[in-house]
Amino acid sequence: MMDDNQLLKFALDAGEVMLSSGAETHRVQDTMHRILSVSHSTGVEAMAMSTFLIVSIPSKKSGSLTLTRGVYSRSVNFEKICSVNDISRSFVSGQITLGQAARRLEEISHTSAYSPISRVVSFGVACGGFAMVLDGTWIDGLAAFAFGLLIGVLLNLSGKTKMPYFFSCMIGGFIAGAGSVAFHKVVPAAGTGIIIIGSIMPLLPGMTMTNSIRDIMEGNFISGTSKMVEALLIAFAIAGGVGFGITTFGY
Amino acid sequence: MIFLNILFESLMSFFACISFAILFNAPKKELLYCGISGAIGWFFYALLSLFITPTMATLVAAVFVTAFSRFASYHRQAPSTLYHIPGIMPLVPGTAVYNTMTAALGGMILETYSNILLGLKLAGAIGAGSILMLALPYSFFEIIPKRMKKIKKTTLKR
Repeated sequence: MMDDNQLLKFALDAGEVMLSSGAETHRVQDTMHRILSVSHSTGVEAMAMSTFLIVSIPSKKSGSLTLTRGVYSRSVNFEKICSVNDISRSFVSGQITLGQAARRLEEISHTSAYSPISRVVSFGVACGGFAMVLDGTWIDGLAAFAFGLLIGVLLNLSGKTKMPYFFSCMIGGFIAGAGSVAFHKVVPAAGTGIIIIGSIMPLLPGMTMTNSIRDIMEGNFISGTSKMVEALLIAFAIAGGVGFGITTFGY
Repeated sequence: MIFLNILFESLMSFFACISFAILFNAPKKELLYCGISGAIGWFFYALLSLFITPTMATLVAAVFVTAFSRFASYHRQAPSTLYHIPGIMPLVPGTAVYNTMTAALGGMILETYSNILLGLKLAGAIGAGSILMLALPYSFFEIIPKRMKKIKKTTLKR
């Protein structure tokens, strides 16, 4: 006999880790529902919105149980999504008990895969790579790489000081805009547009935008529209930062 | 010559998407597949935009990326988002955002609005292309040789 309260708590923990690591609401809902279906009561319900989770188990003996939780931290971490997926699958198929699953869930919450330096370098490579992808020359690519390194350092610092993501995107856009205009004045062969687009590409909310459209098309209108607003806000922040940078250094 | 250029850009997209996956904390053993996903996305987009409009090319490229990510998801036993997000990253309308901003700065109202519309169209095309493939049942992507099935069982036990 499984304890319904512990099961609900485990489902909420799993959902919270997934939602705050950037999984789609559809996937979160699916995972929580799969976990809850282990308790053999009919009519278990799992709801995931962009900022909160609801799970409930109706049972005749102890009365219906419902738990809710707000989820406000937001980042992208595929490693966590993968491990929660693994844990929930092996729990549902009966390979590990509820206690073991809960312990494994506790353990993954503290792991971090890559060192800050490799993250900054990969930010630079992403910027340079996208500048090259979008028809840039080698000069454009190298410049975008350099600005990408700067923005990567900035994002790492802002992650430590809990600066709003909106604001750090704005500063990132400013670095890209101001830097590329200044670079164009020193090296006239470099095109400003390509360098800016390459450097802001990793900041752009591509994931949020895609997830929001997917949510809307799957009928999850509330999370879809709220994510769309988030994506538009970030895009406007980046565009504002770039515009500010370009105008201050004279276009 | 154009074809060579497209191949070179796809290679660059491969490296960019691997760095993206590192930024998103993807597991180390899946990085190669994230990169392949990105290369596929840009390859089909660049090839098709020679013949059809950018919006349609984006849609078809998103279809291919999503199909690949679901195949990879089955073979590697990992969520398909892992391969999907880095793959569509090159298709994200960054150029439209930049052009919107410059047009708005220059006070060109018409170009501003047309670029906003283009950005929304491209974003919608990515979403629609993904949904087209995600709507297919999971069993559709289980066309695999038997050798892989054994591997799948052992990884599940781990």
